[in-house]
Amino acid sequence: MGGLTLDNVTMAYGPRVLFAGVCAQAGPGETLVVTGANGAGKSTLLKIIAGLVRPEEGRVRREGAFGYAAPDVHLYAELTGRENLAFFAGLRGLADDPDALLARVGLPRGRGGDLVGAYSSGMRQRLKLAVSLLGEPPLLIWDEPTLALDAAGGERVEEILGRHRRGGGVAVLAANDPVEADRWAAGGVRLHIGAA
Amino acid sequence: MELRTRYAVGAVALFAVTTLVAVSGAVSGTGVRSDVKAALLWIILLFAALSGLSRAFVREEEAGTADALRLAAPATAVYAGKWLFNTALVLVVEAVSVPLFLLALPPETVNFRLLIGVLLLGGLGLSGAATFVAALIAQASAGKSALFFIVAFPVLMPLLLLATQATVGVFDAVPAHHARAVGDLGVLAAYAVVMTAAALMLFGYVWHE
Repeated sequence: MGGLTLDNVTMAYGPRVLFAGVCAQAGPGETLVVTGANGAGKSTLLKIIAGLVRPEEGRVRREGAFGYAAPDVHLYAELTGRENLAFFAGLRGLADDPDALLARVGLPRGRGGDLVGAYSSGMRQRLKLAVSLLGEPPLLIWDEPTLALDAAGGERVEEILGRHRRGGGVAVLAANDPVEADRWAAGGVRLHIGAA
Repeated sequence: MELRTRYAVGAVALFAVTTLVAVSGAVSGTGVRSDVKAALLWIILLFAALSGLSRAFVREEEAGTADALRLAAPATAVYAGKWLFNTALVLVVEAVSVPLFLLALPPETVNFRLLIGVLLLGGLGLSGAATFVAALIAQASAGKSALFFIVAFPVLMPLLLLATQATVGVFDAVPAHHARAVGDLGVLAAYAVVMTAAALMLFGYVWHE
């Protein structure tokens, strides 16, 4: 099962300190919801947790594999939805059924064979979530998971998160919408970040 | 993806053919020496290949797919994949350009076995070094194309000089040049091995922030 500990994480870009001394913990079945104003560093914190950015100070301890989805992480427009899933599954040595994952995120089966370049923004977001679910990782790191999604897509996200939590998984979510943040943080941990 | 878009292959092939036509138009029928032909060949190959080799990583950063790749595969696997693609690209450039060059500017003689050795080892060294330089400059905020040529030039200069010198031995019948070219093959092989090994060791530091 996954677990996550943030120990005194500090991030700065030159003299500008984004956040300092961030401490948090999330165990199996828990959700850590990161909130803050625009530019507070929510996405940066999630990148630090995913290991894409090195913090100035502090440590992140993750247990197990993780799946990551964020607005600025894109998939290959020249490949189809199915091919993207197969490509990333192959890189990680996973054997997930692409069609099952596409169905799980609510992407119509027939669109799996279309190039991602022809997808709408909402469809691309669903595909990103599907890629992050490859291998059923115990830890999900999702930055604004409902971005560009319609109401049905938002419900899918809630279903996936609920099932993930009930299975003992850990989720780290960044949210701009306070209503979403409140809903996800119910029974979980809320982390509000800002300048030091 | 490249088979679908054919962007890199198209750009590189067009550059090679255009440069070849320009060069052959300028110098054909003027009695060009073997050493000049060797230099012209490697200038065409180098600049044609460089016009496409930087895309290996620049494209990932510009399309926003680099982070997805960082999370999905170890750095050495990413480098190896990009290096293999770039090597194939260089070999395609050579396969297209060299026969056309030999037709447009026929040398005094051609030692084909030696030529293949020079092209293969030169191509491996070119792709090994250029792939690493492409990774180095891919995260620059602006001026990637210019930066690629500026950073690649000093790294590739030894290769260019060696490959040109070896090709002289391919293109003329002077025994001393031929013997030197055979020795140059060993140095070209060493360059390719050293460049690729260094790139594999250092790539992780470049790829991850």
